[in-house]
Formats: sequence, C-alpha cells, structure tokens
Amino acid sequence: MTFRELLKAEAIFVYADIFRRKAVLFTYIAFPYILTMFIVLIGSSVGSYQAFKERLGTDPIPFFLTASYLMMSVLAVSDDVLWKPIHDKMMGTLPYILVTHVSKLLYFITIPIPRLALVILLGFASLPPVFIFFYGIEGVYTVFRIVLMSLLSSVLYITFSILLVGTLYSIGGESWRILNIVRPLLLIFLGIYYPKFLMPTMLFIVSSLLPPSYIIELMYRSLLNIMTSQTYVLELMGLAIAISLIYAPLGSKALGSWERRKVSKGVEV
Amino acid sequence: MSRLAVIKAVFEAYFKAELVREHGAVLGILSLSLWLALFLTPLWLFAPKSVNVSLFGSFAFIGILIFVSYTMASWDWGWQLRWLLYQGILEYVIVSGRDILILYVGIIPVSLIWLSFVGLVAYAIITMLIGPPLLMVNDALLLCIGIITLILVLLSYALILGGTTIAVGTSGPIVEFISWILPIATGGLTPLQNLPEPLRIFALCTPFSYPAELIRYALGLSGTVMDVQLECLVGVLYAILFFIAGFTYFKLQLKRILREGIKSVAMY
Repeated sequence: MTFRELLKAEAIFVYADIFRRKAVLFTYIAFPYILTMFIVLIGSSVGSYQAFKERLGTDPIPFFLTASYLMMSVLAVSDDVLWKPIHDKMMGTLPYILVTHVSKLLYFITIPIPRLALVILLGFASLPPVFIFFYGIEGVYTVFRIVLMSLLSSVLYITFSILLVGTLYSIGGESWRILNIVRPLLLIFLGIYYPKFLMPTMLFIVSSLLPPSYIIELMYRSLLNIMTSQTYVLELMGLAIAISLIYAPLGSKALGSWERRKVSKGVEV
Repeated sequence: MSRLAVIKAVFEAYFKAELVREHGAVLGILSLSLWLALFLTPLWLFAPKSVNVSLFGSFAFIGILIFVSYTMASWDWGWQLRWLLYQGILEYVIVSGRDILILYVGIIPVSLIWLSFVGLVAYAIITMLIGPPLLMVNDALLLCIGIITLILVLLSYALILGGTTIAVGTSGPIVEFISWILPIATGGLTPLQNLPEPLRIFALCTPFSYPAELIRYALGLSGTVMDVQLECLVGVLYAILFFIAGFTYFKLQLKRILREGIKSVAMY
C-alpha cells in the first residue's frame, strides 16, 4: 500500500466513526470548556480570580481554555499513536496488522494525520466565542495564531510518540496501565497547564526534550504579553523542529524493534 | 454455589483484576498522582499572597475526593456493564440466573479501597504542592449523613447510567463528558454560595448538591445556602427517592435488553 492509500483508509476510518457518533464530536468540541470550568471553578473557590490575574497578568478563562485546547490537540495525536497497539491487541487485530506488508513506520505516521483536521475544527469551534468576548476583533487573530501553533505542536509530537510506542512496548509490552502513567507525565512536562518558564530547573530541562514544549512556550509568551524577540521565536521554533527530526530515525528503529519482538515472541490476545 | 460463595468469588475476582494483577494498585496510584499533579499545579496560580495554605489545601482535597467519587460511579459502577459486554461476560451472568447487581458486591468494596488510596495520595500530593490540608470535623453526624447520602446518590446515578449504557449503547466519550460536567454543574467542586445564581438553582434541583454541601459544612469549609437541618432533610429524602427511581429504571432497562437484545457491544 502506498502512503496515499494508507492515508485514505485511515481518514475514512476516523471520519466515519466521528460523523457516525455525532454526540462524541460534540463532547470533543465541548471538552476544552469543561476542563477550563473545572480548573477555574476550583481555583477561584479555593483561591481568587483576581490573584491569578495579578500573578500572570491575564484572565484565567482564555488562559485555561487555550491550555485545555492544547491538551486536546496534543492528545488527539499522541493518544491515537500510543493507544493503537493496545486497542488492536484487545480487539485481536494486532496479529493481522503485523503480518501485512505495510511499513509499520508509514502506518504509524499515517494514524494521527486525519486527526489533525480535528485539531483545526476543535480550535475554530471552541476558542472564538471566548476570545472575541475578551479581546474583541483582536481575539480572532489570536485564535488563528493559537490554532496554527497547536497544529504545529501536534505535528512535531508525531515522531516522539512513535519513538515512545517503539521503546515502551518493546520493553514492557502493550500495557495500558503503563501508558496511563506516561500520558499525564508528558502533559506535565509539556507545560500545558503550568507554563514551562515557571517550572523548576530540572523539570524545565526534561520539558526541553519534548518538541511541542517550545511551541507551547511561545504560545503562552504571546498570550501573557511577554516581550519576545523575533530571534528568540525563530530559535525556539528551530529547536522544536530539529529535535522532532532527531526523533524520527530513533523512532523508526524503536518501532522496528517492537515489530521484531512481536514477530518472534507472538501476540497475546 | 451458595450466595456467600458467589459474593466471595466476585470480590476476589475484582480485587485481583483491579489491584493485584499487573501491579494494578501500584501503577494506578502512580498514574493518579500524576493526573492530580497536572490539575492541582495550576490551582496554585489562584492563591493570593496572604493565602491560608491549610484552608487552600483542604478545599482542594475535598474537591478532588468528591470529583473522584463521581468518576468512580461513572466508570467503575456505570460503565462496568458495558465493559462486561465487551468481555462477553454479561450474557453469562444473565443466563446464570443471578441478579446482575450481585457483581456490585465485588465492585463496590474494591472501588472504596481504591478511593481510600486516592485519599492518601491526594493528601500527600496536596501537602507537597500546596501545604497540608487542615481537616477538622465540626459535626460528625452530619459528616456521616453527607457521606452516606453521597454514596446513595452516586449509586442511583450509576444505575441510571448503567441502565442507559446497556439499553442504548452509550459511548465512552459521552460517559467521560458526563462524569466531568456533573460535579462541576451540581456544586460538587465549589460551595453553592460561590456559584452564580442560575447554576446554584440548577444545582439545588439535583440530588447531587446536598451531600457535597453537608460534607463541606461538617468539615467547616463553607456555609450552606439554606438552613442546615432543612438541607439535611431535603438531601436525605431526595437521595432515597433518587435511589428508588434509579433502581426502577435499571430494572426496566434490563427487562428491555432481555426482550430486544443489546444495541451496541463494541467501540469505546
């Protein structure tokens, strides 16, 4: 199968499921609001709304809406890649996928691509009302910027997700329990709810190994009106792209190792 | 098999599957700690400079416990039936002639053990990130009533959710959505007096708000929006009525699937 055929098959699979279950699509769009309400309601009841504004210089609602949208965007890509072998194992389809002649690397690159369209849809469906309310027409430009940067973050996360699938499942098998530890850990390191530049040094260093963390940092700098020079913006974007590219061959090797392991030891179903 | 032997077997099966096998308890606690850290860290951004750290921690602690209780009712008690359908177990339970609800004898204690783990982990994480929560029981009787009505209300909700899940094939993302929106909209996380007026009225129309208010009041974390004794009476009566409604609805849905078959068995 060519890349185009694979992509077409994956897109039909993803979109058919989404449009068949419209209620699921609705919940997907509503989720950034739910997460924002969750944090803002608890935060303002245990602390104060004003304290947040004084500390970060912005309103918590657009801040956490952006963070929640980012989380959904990143998860849209990473979850699809990371959960795929587990779902296939549970459904009994993993042995069939392993015996096909399709390149597994190509297959795993294809998996998140149809979801990227959802990242755009989710952004334009959930962000504009709040951003227009808070920032007027300027808010529309901010939404465009956030959606584009989220898209870039998600794309740059693909190679790392593949590396993680290969490494994690080669070592420990397809365990959803381990995955449930890795997912929140990565979300913390990415600096989604707690900006990277506020992190302690050790956390900051680990965070810097994840390509999307640079784009997320840029997004927060822009949202919090922190003066950032054009050179610094380009440096962060360049670093994100470079690190993501470094992960590509490593990911390919790790995925190959997982595949060989499965072929030699068999699949538990 | 005697009823006692069935109860023991079901409890053992759930205990091993959830907490023992594949280091379930250890890995689960690790995962939970990280999720809690993810959502608790930004709360600190709301802390005023002159914050009472213990009170701040106590609010966060009770909020987390109530939220996790809702999650437990949604996933462990409600969604469990759908999971049993995936696994092809539910049909065997039905043809065995046993009441489906016997499974809950195994599920509920394991869930409560898990909830106590959550309590310990949340306490430790809040102590590390924010400060030690100050828990003082002002009214022990009211606290007991609050906890019992909370369990009753959550069981009723789980019966309605479980009944709907097996009857119409509710999907995972919908359950996830409900388990998030419900504690937010019904005053589970925030004292009712801090909610905007329309949301407060909505919350009072549901049985969920009363137990949470009673627990917070008994721990001295917030006042109640109506007279405490009246709120307690309404909360208890509402919880009992809600349980009867949930139980009846569940039984009706069970009859329906026995007559019409199951609507959807696959997909998250």
